[in-house]
Amino acid sequence: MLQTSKSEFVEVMIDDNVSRGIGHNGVEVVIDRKKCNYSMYDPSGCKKCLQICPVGVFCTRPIEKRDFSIPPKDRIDPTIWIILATWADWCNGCGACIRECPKGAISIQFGEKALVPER
Amino acid sequence: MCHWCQQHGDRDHRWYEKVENYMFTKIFPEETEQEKVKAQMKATFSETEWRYSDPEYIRNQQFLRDRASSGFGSQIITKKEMLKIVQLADEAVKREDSIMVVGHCPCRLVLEGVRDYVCIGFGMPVTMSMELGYGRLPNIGLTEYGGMEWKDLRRDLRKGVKVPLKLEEAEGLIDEWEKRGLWHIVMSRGRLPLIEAICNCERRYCTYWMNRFRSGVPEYVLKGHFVARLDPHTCVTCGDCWDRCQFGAIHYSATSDNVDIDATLCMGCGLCASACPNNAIEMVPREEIPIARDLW
Repeated sequence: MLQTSKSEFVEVMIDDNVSRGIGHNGVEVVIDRKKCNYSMYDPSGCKKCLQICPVGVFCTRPIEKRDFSIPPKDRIDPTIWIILATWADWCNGCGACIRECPKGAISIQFGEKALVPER
Repeated sequence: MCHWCQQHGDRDHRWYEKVENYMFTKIFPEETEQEKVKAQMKATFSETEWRYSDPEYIRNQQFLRDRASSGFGSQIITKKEMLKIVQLADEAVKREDSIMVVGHCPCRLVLEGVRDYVCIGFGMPVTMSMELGYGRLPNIGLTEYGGMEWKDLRRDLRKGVKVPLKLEEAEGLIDEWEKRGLWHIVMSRGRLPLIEAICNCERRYCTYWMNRFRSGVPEYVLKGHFVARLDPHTCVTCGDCWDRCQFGAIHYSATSDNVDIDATLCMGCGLCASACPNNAIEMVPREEIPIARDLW
């Protein structure tokens, strides 16, 4: 599964492993989907990156578009939500999300500087 | 007069002060048209989260401009106007045999991951289109934080169970939101001049603010009909207004120990006026301030 979505400012690419937001100004925010356990209705799923980011780089949404024409039992689970970096080009490189993420799922390529979680 | 008042208001009333603008059946009198609008709402409703989070929509200037010109209109209002709007909406809703409901903010859901019940929708179309989550939570309160304990209630709401909001409750809620420091917006969602919702938000979580100030589509949300004016003799420079202003219109001068309000940056939300302990800030109609008169 690969979802891509593009505008003149940012491009978002989501596959099974990573959710990637690439800004036109060279900022690349990568969220490792294997490590991130976020889901909208899961109490253990954190949303610390959404809440800590001072410029609101991250967004969340259901993994697929809801389609009411499909019968309910065949629909994809609406409680599975993912994190994506829709406003990646606004990232200011403070690294708060990287420090905040308990799973170390976020890494950022900020121009020439790579911001990665500490081991 | 703002653009919407020129098009949809009249000499004595602003666009959101006319009761006809709250009535679905007045604006779409024909049944075939009504059905068409309802179908359109159903189709777009399932995409709300996508439209608010996907670069193809929210980061696409052309898309936003097209939307703004196709009947999306909203304006920042003060608390006083908001109370008036709720009264008008209540009247319209009673005439139409529809209901007023409080619902979660879709922007906050997408940007914060939290269902925060800070929007009031009214009239038949909103009640219909916002089926997911819209409704007052009976005996529980109004804010929901997406945990498992809300599962049953959410299921009921999804099935279409709705609890109408009474006028007094709405007024109480507006007080609460004002105290929280949320600004107020009146909005039409694609069917101007039909007014469908009022919304209380913060700059950080507001998609409309982003459309205006980040994506550069100012017609998406207009400045309010009022501008804040400070009386420097009454002001004690406590800084309460400065804490509230989210648009950067209020500045403090350390040299002269004065507060300035920039009328060209003021959006007219009135939060500073309600926060001021000495009533030093007055909300003046925009027409009376020449420098801000034509800024919308």
